[in-house]
Amino acid sequence: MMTTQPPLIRLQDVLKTYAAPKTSLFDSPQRFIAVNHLDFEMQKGEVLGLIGESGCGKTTTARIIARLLKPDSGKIFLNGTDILPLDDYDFRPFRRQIQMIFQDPQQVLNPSLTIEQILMEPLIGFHILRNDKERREFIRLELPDVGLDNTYLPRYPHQLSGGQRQRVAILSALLVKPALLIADEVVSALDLSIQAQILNLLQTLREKHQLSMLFISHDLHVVSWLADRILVMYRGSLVEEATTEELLRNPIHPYTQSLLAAADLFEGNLPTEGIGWGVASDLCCPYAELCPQSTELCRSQRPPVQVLANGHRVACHCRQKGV
Amino acid sequence: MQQNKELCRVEHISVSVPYVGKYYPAVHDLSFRMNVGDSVGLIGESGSGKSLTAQAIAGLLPEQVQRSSGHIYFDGIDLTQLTEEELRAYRGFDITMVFQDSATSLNPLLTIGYQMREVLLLHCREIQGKAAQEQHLIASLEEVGLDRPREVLQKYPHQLSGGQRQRVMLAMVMLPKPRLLLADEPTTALDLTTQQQILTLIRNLQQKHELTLLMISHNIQVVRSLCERTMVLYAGQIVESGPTNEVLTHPMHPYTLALLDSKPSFQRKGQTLEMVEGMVPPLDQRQVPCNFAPRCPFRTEVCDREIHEFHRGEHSVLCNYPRSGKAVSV
Repeated sequence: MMTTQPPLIRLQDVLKTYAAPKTSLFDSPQRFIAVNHLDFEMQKGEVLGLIGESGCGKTTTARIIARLLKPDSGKIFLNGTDILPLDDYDFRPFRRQIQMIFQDPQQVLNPSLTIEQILMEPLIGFHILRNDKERREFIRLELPDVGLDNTYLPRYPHQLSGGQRQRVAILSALLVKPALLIADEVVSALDLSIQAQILNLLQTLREKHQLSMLFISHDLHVVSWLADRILVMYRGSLVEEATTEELLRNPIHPYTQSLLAAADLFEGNLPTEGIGWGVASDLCCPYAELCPQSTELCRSQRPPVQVLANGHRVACHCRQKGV
Repeated sequence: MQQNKELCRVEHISVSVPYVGKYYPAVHDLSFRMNVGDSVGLIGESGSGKSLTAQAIAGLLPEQVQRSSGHIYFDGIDLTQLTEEELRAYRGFDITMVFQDSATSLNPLLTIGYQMREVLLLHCREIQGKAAQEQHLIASLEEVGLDRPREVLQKYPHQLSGGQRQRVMLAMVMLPKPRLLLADEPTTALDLTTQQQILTLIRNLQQKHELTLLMISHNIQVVRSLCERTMVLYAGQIVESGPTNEVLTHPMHPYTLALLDSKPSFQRKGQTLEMVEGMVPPLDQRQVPCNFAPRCPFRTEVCDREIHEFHRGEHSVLCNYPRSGKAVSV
């Protein structure tokens, strides 16, 4: 019997809370819900864009997948294996599968190591190739992939420009041939022309290595250029998920609509300010306070995620009633 | 009524900054003028000299930076000839500035109210009496769209969100009723949605108070939505300037064209983004006459010798081979 291939990554009911700051010494401790029962899947070779404003749990989600953070509850499957119950030793082979790149390569690259030493580290750490000589050759072979050459190897990170540093960070993540690359706001700190260079690079690498990528950004234009599918988060919850075409053509959730309007991609109302660090609740729609269409139901019950045609998923009460 | 009355004119300003032991011009021979009520956008990548230009106008250049030549006329008076003492009559009164990072512009140890009262004491001496001052502060906070202004006055900067802090900053710089507002990337650190609200606020303030605005940004969309005129800065030179509509839809300079072409969007999905290789040259590798020449696909040997300015109406471009100005869709 043929079994269908399991998705590359599957998140099931993932919950992560942080301790909320107390307003008074005598308050009972409260929890801030950073990721609120999140479910999603990623297929092999797919680029999933994750968008939302700061504080909505994008980065927390990424860190949970990379197992840099432990969720309070939920399951994460990598190629069908639940990776959460594994201890650090058993997780090692999986760690190689998931690599992450960040917004600020300055903070990622060790300032006291040369570029060559930085690139050697993942290869040594994961026991890739037999000896350092082979590893050095391998690095020299892979450098042109990210548009760098041998002359950069003896340099230190501070001698490189922001764009070049990001290239080094990308290469060091890709050297171990991961199954999933998590890119957290990787072009946000770069100028437009450098941003274009890095985006082109990611696109080329993606085609060459059939890379699966979780691409996190707050810039809708960038995400819509690169991603096959887009997942919109708001205050830790999934509000909408669809293919890029579908989401831009037919955004259903009022929050998605306002987000697209802010980026000039949709005619509609701009969202109003008022997003605080309030303690998100399970008892209402996270967007109820700001939503122009909110009803009593939205304020008393959290909308379930519904699956529509073409895998379009949305969490909105209005949709359920067919409004 | 006061249209076309000149407020500020920058003439041949050059600013030199130290770089590996020598001084190099980071802003080179910059000239432009702003009329009363104008909103002018200054676009450029990091290192292009945007912020230095604004700091030069406000007289806020860091000590180790030299303004080597040029004049800045504000209301007919040459600011470059004034002493520090005399300059204080303008800076903070007629000319105010907001910065990108509101968290570092505000003192974290003092309440919003304390910091705003400081501005009143220094720059609005005509408002006397505690009650009148309080009234004035509350009115100004309401004007920038902050709910419960009385509570805001008692808060510390960290208790406000980034958008709220930027609103407080705007309320603060509007207290002395300035005529020229220099806004240095005021929305860059904010979320897209908050960014839109702050831009709308700036536009409202500008129209209501007949404010002249110099908006500095690397974000084309910000300038497009707010400014009537746009100047494109590359490596310390204004390479293109004119009405925003013209410059951003029919660019003539190869750099502006490349900048617009490199913008990712859904329409360009799957296509390679057009871009110029390389980056803004470091200070010691800039070459006059044209700093863009090393990256320019249309460069000839003429470009190494001389450079011409080309005008079409109000639209001007600093290039020997201006592009035809074909329409760009973004």
